[in-house]
Amino acid sequence: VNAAMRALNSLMVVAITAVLLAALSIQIFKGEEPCPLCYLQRVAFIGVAAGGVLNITCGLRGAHYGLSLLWAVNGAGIALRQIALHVCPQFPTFGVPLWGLGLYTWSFIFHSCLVLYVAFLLFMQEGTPFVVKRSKYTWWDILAIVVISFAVFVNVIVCFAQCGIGPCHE
Amino acid sequence: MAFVFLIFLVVIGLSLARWRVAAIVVALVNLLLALGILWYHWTTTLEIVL
Repeated sequence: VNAAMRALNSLMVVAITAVLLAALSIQIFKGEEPCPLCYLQRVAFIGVAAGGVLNITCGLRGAHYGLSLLWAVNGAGIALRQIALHVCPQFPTFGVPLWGLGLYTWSFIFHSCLVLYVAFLLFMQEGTPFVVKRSKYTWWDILAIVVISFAVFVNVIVCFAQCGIGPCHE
Repeated sequence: MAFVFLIFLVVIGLSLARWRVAAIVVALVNLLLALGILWYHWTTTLEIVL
C-alpha cells in the first residue's frame, strides 16, 4: 500500500510539472508574458509538489500532505482573485484563452482538483500507518524529482529574466 | 519574485538531504512570502482600479 501511495504522490508531482511546462511553453512559443498573479499561481503549484517530493524522499507523513493542502488552497485563492479582477466587462480576459477559459480559470480548476486529490490520498492512507522509515527510490520517484527540479529551475531563469530580483509589475 | 522560485530549489534540496523539518519550515516561510507579495499586489491593484 505504501509503495502505491508513493507512486500516487509521484504522479501528482509529474502532473504538476506538466502543467508548469505547459504554461512555460505558452509563455515562450506564444509570447505571453506572465503577470505577477500568474507567477504566484505557479509558485503555489510548486508548493503543492513540494509536499509530494517530501512524501517521496522522507516517507509519508501527515505534515507533508498538510503542506500540499495549504499551498493548493493558497493557489486556488490567488486564481480566484485573478478571476474576480476580470469579471467586470471593462477588464477583458488576460492572455489567450484556452478552450474558452482564461489560464487563471484553468489554474483555479487544477488547484481545486489538487485539493480533492490530496483529500483522496489521505482517505487512501486510512487504516495504514504513515511510513517514517526511508526506502529506495523507484525510477518513477526519480523521474518526478528530476522533472519538478527542472521546471522550478527554468521558472527561476524565466522570472529573473523578466522581473530581475525585485517584484514583477503588470 | 524569482527568489520565491529559488527558495523552492532549496526546499527540494533539503528534501533530498532528508532534512524534512527544515524543508517544511522553509516552505511555510515561503508561503508567508507569497502571501505578502499577494497582499502587495492586492493593494497596488486596488489603487489602479480606484
